[in-house]
Amino acid sequence: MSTDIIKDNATKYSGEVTYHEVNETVLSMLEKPTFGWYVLLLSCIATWVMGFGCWISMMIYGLGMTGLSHPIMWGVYITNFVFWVGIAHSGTLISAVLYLFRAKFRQPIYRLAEAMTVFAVMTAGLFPIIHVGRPWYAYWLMPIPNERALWPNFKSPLLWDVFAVSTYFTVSTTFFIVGLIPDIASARDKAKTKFRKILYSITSLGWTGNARQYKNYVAAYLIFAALATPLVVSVHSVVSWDFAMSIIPGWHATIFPPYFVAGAIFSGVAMVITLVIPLRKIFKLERIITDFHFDAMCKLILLTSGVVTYAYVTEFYVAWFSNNMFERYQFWFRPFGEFKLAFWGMAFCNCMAPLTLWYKPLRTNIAYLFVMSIIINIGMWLERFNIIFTSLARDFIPAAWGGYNFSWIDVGITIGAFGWFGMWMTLFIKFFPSIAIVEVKEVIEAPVRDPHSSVHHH
Amino acid sequence: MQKKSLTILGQNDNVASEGLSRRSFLKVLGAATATTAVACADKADQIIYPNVKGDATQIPGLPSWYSSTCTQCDAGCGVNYKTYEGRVVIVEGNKDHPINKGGLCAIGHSALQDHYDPDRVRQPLEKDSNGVFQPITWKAAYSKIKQAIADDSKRAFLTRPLSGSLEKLVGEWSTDVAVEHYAYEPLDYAQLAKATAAVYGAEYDGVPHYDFSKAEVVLNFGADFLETWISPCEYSRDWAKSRKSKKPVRVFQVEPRLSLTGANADHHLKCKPGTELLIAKAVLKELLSRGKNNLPASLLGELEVSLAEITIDVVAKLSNVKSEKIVSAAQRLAEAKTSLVIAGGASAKTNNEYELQVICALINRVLGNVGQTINLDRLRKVKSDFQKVKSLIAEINDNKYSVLFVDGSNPLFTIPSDYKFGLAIKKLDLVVSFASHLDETSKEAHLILPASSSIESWGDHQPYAGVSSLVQPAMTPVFDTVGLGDMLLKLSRSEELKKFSEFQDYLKAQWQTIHAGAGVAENFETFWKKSLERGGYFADPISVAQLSIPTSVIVTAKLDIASFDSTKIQQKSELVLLPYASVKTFDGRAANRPWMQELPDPITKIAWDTWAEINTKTAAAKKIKTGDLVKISNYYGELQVPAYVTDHVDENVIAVPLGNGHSDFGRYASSVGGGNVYNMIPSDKADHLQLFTTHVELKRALGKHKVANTQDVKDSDKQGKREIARTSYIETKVPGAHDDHHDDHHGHHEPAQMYEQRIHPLYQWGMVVDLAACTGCSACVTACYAENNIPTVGRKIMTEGREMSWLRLERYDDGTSEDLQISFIPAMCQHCQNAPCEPVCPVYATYHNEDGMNVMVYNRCVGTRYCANNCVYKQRRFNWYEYELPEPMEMQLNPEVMKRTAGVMEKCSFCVHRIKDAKDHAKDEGRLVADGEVQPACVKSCPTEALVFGDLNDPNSRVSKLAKHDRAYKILDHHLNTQPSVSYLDNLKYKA
Amino acid sequence: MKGQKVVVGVFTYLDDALKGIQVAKDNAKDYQVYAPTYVPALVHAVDSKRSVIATISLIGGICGLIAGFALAILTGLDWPMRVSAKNIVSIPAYIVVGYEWTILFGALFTLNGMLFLCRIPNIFRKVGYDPRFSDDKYGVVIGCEPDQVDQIKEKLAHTGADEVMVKEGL
Repeated sequence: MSTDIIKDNATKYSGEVTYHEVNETVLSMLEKPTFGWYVLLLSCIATWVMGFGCWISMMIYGLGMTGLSHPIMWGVYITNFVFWVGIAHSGTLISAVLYLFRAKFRQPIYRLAEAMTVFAVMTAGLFPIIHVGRPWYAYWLMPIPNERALWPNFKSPLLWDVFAVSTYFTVSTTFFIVGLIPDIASARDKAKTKFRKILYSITSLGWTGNARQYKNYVAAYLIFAALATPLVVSVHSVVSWDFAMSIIPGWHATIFPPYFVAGAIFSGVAMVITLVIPLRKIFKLERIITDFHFDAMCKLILLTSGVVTYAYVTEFYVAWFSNNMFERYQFWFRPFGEFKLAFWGMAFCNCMAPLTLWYKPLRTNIAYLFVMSIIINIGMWLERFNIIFTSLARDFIPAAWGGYNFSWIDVGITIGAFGWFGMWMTLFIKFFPSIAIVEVKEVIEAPVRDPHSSVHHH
Repeated sequence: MQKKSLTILGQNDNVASEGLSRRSFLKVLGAATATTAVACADKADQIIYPNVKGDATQIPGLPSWYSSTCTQCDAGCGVNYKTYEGRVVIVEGNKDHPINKGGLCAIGHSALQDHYDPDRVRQPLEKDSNGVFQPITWKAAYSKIKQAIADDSKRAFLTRPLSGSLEKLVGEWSTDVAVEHYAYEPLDYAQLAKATAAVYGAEYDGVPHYDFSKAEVVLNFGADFLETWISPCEYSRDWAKSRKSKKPVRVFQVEPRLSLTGANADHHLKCKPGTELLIAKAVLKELLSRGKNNLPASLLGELEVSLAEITIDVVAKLSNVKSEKIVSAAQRLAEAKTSLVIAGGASAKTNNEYELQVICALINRVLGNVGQTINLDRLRKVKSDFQKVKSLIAEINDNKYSVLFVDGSNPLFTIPSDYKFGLAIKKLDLVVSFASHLDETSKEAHLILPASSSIESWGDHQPYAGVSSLVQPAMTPVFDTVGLGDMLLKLSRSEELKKFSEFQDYLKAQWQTIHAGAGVAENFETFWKKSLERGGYFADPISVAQLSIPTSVIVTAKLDIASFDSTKIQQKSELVLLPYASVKTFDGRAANRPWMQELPDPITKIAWDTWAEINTKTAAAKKIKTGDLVKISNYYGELQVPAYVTDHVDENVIAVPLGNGHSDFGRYASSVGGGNVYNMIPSDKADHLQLFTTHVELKRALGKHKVANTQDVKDSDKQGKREIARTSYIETKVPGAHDDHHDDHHGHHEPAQMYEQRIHPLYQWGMVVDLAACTGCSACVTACYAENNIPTVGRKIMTEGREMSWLRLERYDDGTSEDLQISFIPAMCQHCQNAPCEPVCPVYATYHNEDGMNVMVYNRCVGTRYCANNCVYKQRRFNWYEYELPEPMEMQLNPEVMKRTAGVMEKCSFCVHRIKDAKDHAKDEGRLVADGEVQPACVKSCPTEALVFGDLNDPNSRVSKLAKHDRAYKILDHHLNTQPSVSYLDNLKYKA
Repeated sequence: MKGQKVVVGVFTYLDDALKGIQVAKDNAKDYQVYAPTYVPALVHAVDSKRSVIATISLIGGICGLIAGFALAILTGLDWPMRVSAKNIVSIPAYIVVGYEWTILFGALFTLNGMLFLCRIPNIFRKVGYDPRFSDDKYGVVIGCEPDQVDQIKEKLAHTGADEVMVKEGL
């Protein structure tokens, strides 16, 4: 990492934070859990257990329990799947892409973003299984050799999904854990209880941080970043192909991959903000996560919001320009049809509301950002709802048109997913450093006895 | 399950002794299959009864067929029963039968569910002192009746119109045991018969045979001859034959409410209620003035006077039908070489129906249609006599009677309550019912002797001269029931009846005379066997009818519109209640069959419900929207049904289908409320039951009612420019001539293909649907349910849009009530060559087989439902739940088609199992499958042969010829290049 | 680490640590440098050669690409089912699989390569390691024979080490 960057990175901190301070602040997060933490954890568990109950009853009585019906064969579950995969994205973006771009604001937030990625993918991964008619056979989508030589169909976008998502999960998890190793070592050396001592000794794999380790570690880290970056693009492109590869008006569009990727980053960054703000408050990380970082994330939001807005407009333009009656009806139906609320909700949350962030003071107004980040997440959920539900509700054969029946099971499972995600997050922040100690130190000027010494100008 | 099997075994025990006759053998098998059927129903443990002794006629796993006759209505269509191991699984039309020639209507198919109805009475019942029915033995039941008929008390026997040997037996038995026999059905044709006799000669007291295939123009006053009128399968077939020809019949339909028949007519004249007579008179006058007057002079003079006041304009004003339409109808009739004028249906059942029929008969006579399109040698005798039934009821109320026998016709439901039959039946000492259900009538009986269904018993039917068709049992009775004939023989006293041990013998005795009359060389036994195989004995009557000069025909001179009763209606209401027979429930007899309840009504697309069709203006005035509950009331009763707002009924008409609103009868019938429409009808002096006779009040009732309507989404009945069901207009285009406009849609020039097209070496199965012949009767839908074990899901699940039908009859209504553009299109899986559903399945659960069909592997399906999303025709159905059948309905399940479990996708398979059978047979004989050898259930069922199936590889097959027809097109193909295997032929309509 | 003894120099300042490294370089073949974070200068001072990890990743990526396409094509041929009018083997559809596995295998190879090159997991053998090294101190650990200990202690002390310790080597 070139030295000048180290310099101006360092200046980003209010006053000079020392190595030790960083260690202390971050590791203090791992201290004895408070009552509040237990409450949070238990409520998360309770929530997903409730959701799980809904799923069980659905498996017992049949998928009729959901609001799905002919012709809306995909619905809330696929919406949730796309939503969570989208959330996952910004993690990889922040950790990998911004690492390659040497973005200055990355270090303190990327660990959290990565954790979010891993847990979001773990959540997203549940939904295809919840969604299928016979979950107990879902493994048939895996290329598992069996005596009858039955193999999956590699021409199906769903199978691409299986590969894209599983690869994404594996790689981002690896990236995540690799990043954790040195920090766990720090935790190990400061661990107070025997349990944690053992836990960290094992999970740090005996990391010592000697020169040779750093040399290969940093090289490998760079490569991981380089490998994860194309995933950011590919995974959501593949997800979007589930729709774009089909023949349904409103789905069958070449714009989908970039549109989905942008949307994913959009929602992901918003989710990072949603998570970082309370964490920063609770663990008093103001000196490490500063306004500068929020400002930078807001700019990313403004950019991606612009992209999705453009995509929405393009869809309508193409529908009109194609002069295809089915497309045209579909895009008339979205703003004025049965699901118009979802459409206008999306338009407000994703296109209009974020515009306020052009105003700088709002970009650093933490309370406002928190609300905004939640608005954006709602908006992005609605976007997927729009794409999936409305397109299916009105396609080619009017006689087969139909609607969606609301169902509490859908709601229960959707909420349950947040519990599941929350549980992992809660556990994570208490057991592992959720800010990258070593990397934050990296951007702090190394202490030197003689300021004029030339160590920094090798 | 086990319990049931054992009880059936119980029966077998006493059978075993009498050796292994075919019947007893069937009984044993019945037990066996009762359990194997359960196996299909996916139950855990069953007892399997091994089929120890083989039987040449019964090869397990191979079907055996029995010819018989459909007894669902009096049309007398021939049917074939397909049986496996002694249980009937499929009912199909008998192609050798002169009446239906292979087709069968929806109700005909649903006979199976009447037969396997879980709500059937399972053994003789007697009402105990607390009014609860207790099972008794047949012996006991018989002896009770024997006592009852021992004394000289006055006794009556009320049945639906009977025919053939059973009618004869009932007659003989009635005299034998001193019982007066009355026949009754609500929708009878007495007025038509009377008018025929009056105009054509007294000897022709009956319903003549109409030939729609010969007519060039048909003027029809409300007769629903494509739905339920007299002999719908026969008429549909003839009508379609003409529609498919180079010169299709042009139909003018005059009625206040758009019926299915009206929707298929070229010109729909929506008239004010009860003004048909005026229009008929106007047409007659117009014709006379055009010199069509070959009538006896005396009669002409009479008409001269009575038609004096009739002028087109007055009539047009009163009937609210444009005068030019009336004139053009008259003109077309005058110009046509052959034509046909008929009246009937619910909207004709007014106080002036007789006169209307007379005028129609006169018009036919002046146009010289008798002998052309009207055949008087093939009269259908009308046996229902409402006049006599009324007097019977009156006498019962005067306590003149003490015993009443009643069959399964459920008169208490169909005779309006105002006729006081309900009171009467309570006054009797003994009411014996031979009904198969605990319906409204049999609930009132003291003794129920359940009669076997026509699938379980012997009988015959003579609809008209030259057609004697046989009813034979295709399986052992499902429950402990006995055929009506057998019961009567058991209950007879006279020696000449006693000498017949079984009704079968009596039947044979009657057929001895038919054999004699037939004058055929072969001896009786061969004749009898042949007739059984053929389904009956069919011959053309030789004599030619001679028209006699009518003594006098009363044609009132009045400008009279039918009068409608408005007794004690608070504020004067112009609204008239029009109860009509639907293809779902007919007069009510089909109400307890899930298939029929789940079948969307062709016009309204409503299932599992009864409804009120209300004109848009009327509804707007009362702030009623489709789906709102409305209260329709008069002095006699009230209905609470969901509204269906449409332009297609007159502003003063509220049309409600007959047949629902049962209080008893069975779980399915009583699940559909709304109230019994019959009970709204006031009694009057008339000698026939006037259904279209009462004014009603219309109010918006509280609450909404979620109606199961398969096409209730906004705009879902408008196809716009999508060209799903296409129509070409005959004025603009001679059928068969080339039409540039649709050129590219006809697939004449092939679009560029990304992949090289697959060649299917042996077969390439395909279908062609001729929309010009499709009436929308929905028989194919029901046939598909039966063939493919498609579950019925019930109202609630249907309102969620989760019906499982593999064949959707789409109804589009793009026009207005003035310029009607209603099209029906049966849509099944199109078996695309570039099927969008196939590549998206991640597990190859659906793929393209070697015969170019799109096949579905249920066991492999994980249920991602991607295929259904990607099916542009939305033909895939998903099992949202596991659907169970109440026993013994599972006995109907077709063993050739597996039952699908929850979480699995399914769809039309072109009846792949039938194709497999045909291919196997052909292979055994070392040949290819012949054209027409294999027919999917829908194709087989179609009364009009609108559907044709076959091998597209064979250039000479009917299907590949039709697929090259100039009217042929493939839905959406020119948009999406899906290359369906199903082609459609444009519907044909005459421009107004 | 060779030698029976190790001399551990604990440094607060980077420039001092660099001096310490110089001492190590001059006096011993075998030494180890610990740092609380990645400091390019430090690592450079110890070893300026490029890591070989990139090569390993490349190999992994190539294997993945081949494996991905092979899987799709061979399973297709093993169970030849026609869908729509598509070919049994339709390469364009298989690109995704190849692409994903390229990355997957690349990542897994990199992971294993890194673990190997960093000699981890290695939970128990941390000669001369001090918990402060993961906090805010630099450490220079020099392996030597008992007779050299004093001299090296001396030299390290002069570089400005906060503390110099002597520990048992192997």
